[in-house]
Amino acid sequence: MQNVVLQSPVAFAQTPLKPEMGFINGMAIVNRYSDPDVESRHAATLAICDVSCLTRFAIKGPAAADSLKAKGIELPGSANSWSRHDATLVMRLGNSEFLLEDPIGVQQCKELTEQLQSGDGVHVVLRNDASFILSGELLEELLAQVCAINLSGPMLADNQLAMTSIAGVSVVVLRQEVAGQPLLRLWCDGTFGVYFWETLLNIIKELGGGPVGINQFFNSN
Amino acid sequence: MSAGWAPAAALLYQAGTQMRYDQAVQQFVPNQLPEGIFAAGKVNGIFELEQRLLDGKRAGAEAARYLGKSTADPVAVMAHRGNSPSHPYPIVNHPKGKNFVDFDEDIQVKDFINAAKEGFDNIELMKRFTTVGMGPSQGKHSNMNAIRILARIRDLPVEKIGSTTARPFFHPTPIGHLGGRGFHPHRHTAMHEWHVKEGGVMMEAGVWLRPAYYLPMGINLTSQQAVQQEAMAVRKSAGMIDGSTLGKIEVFGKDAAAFLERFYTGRFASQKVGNSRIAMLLDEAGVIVDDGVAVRLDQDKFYVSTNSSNAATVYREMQRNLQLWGMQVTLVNLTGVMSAMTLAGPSSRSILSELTDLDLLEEAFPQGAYREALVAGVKARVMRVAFVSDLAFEIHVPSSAGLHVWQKIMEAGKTYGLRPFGTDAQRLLRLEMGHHLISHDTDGLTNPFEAHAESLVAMDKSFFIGQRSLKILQKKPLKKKLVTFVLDADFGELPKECNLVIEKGEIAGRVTSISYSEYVNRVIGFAFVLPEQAKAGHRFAVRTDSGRIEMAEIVEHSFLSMNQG
Repeated sequence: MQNVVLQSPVAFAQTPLKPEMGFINGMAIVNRYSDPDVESRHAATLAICDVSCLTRFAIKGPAAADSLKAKGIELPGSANSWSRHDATLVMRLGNSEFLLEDPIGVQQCKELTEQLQSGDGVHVVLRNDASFILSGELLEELLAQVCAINLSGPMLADNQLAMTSIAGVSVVVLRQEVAGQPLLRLWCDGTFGVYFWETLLNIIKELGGGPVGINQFFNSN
Repeated sequence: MSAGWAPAAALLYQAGTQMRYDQAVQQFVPNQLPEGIFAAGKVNGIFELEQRLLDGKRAGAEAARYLGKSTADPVAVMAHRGNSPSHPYPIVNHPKGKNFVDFDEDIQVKDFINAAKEGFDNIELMKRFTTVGMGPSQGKHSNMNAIRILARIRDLPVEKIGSTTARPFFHPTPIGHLGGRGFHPHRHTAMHEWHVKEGGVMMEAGVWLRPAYYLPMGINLTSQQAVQQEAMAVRKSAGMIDGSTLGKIEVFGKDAAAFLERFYTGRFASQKVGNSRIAMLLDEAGVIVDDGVAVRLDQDKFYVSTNSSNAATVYREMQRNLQLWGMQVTLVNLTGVMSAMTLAGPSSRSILSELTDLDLLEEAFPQGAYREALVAGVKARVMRVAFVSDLAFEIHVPSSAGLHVWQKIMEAGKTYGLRPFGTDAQRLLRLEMGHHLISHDTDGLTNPFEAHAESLVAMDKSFFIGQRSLKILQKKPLKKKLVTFVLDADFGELPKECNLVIEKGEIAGRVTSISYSEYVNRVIGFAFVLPEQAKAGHRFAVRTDSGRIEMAEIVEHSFLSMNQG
């Protein structure tokens, strides 16, 4: 068996920044780009963080909801909304399409991958998301420049999620609060990851923010 | 050129309004509105605020009266007085600069003058020749000035020039086009970093960035030499190309095979699990739109590839037809999810065998077969393909492991002389194999009968997209035929793609692909010729850019047998 190192879809754009790397779920990921104080300032002002390494499980098909329920997963009641099953994020992308994501250290998605297989009316979907956290008090200013939809209003309230275009790329986006601070979670096709990262980071830097490593939000080993 | 107004009259034009040019406001205004159509404001040539308000009341009252709902007195509106709000010719010449007229398309005044000189001196023809008004703003800032410029060039009054046809849909110019940031998304494959490090000369292929060829540091090569060396490596030992840009779609569900039977021209219901078949897609007119490979993963599951440039289109068409046909099928677009690489050449089997336990011998893994196995420790989908070489393996892995697998194969292939090859060498290699490229060797009118693709069409199926048109086309004589040719060895000037095939002084076709092949040691290519010419051994003439005539001979499909070495 070979030692397989998985690559973040954003890695190509991050290497020139000479970050400190770590490994999460078999993927090489950026722990931090600079001094923790600098990163904390960035996170409070405006920051982007690559969290593509988080484990995901996706399923679609007319029997997808029943399959997840049979595994005891609590589902959001309507399409374009999200909920938590314990610590796992459960996103309902359509009536019959779901995307789940574990925080670090949680095994729910891994277990579902092992237990659920494609079958009658159910299709387990492979994913290659570039996944990001956007945080900071200038978030709205950034979004105004990259998205035609006002994401600061009710669109993302009450655990709603949106599928829209940011900087010309189709994304799934939802809003969360961590320690009272609003942040956005985004997922896009991994092959757009480098472009997306570079485009947003350029604007973030213009606005006085910067990149932060995953240690800003999670602890890697 | 920013010295005037261009009121939004498109909806009035679409409604059939007759317009006239009003010298007092230097714009077109309605001359006669169709019944039930009402206009107000600047489009009527009314610019003063008070008068515009009155004009709105007038139009509203007329509309209400038309509906039988108002008996209000008619409202009088005064025509514009004083200076015209628009300049009759708002083009200020900059003798040393560029006189831009259309900011979308970077069209200058000189382009209009040249168009008129070429004979495109009618506004509709000029639009198509210069592309004025065809950009994001759809002529909202440039059309009126184009009309004025043409009037000046032809020394005619503006009203004699007329305007271009306003077609639906009409929508306002998004404010983002005028003042926002411009975004141009592009996609990277998982191996992008490796390509750049190894001297890959990246080119845009649709939204993707792909290596056209490699110029490694410290090695002095021309692009042509690099391409020939890469292609030769595939013929003599092995080469590998990043094919992650291929469209990859999973078709899953109890109707999966029946869906593909309707969507593509071939047969899939009888296809065995673990085998692949070519999947050719037509449009309703019977024109070839795409070709890919459909692998049967299970009784109810297929993995279909498409041409790189067609991935989004084919997926969208699948979704659309799925809705129309109401079949029990789930579609998943895995284009960005799976990395793909093609390891090709006589040493490819030996190289791959160092990284997998899969039995790669011919009997166990023949042409067209599909297997799942670990490759370099990663669960992979492996196909025997023959697009660039008789012996080649297409390896698909999750994108997060794409770079890992690519690097491991390159390492394993070092002792075999394995080289990466780019899209330029790929084009040459498939040409040597006699494989045409859809949308390159075919055009928006080419049907399967013209491109030697009859064997991929199961006409006796009950239905597939384009079948009805093919039944009609089948009864008609062909207009052209795609052939493979070799240029005479003593040619004087190398013809280019799109150079014309000439027969008895008349245009008989065109060259669609042409390249020198070091392996074959001849210039080879594809061309459309008249059907009666399309026989092996037939010689035909190609007219080059300079007007020279070069001779070529039609040959059988594969050029590989011509290798003298």
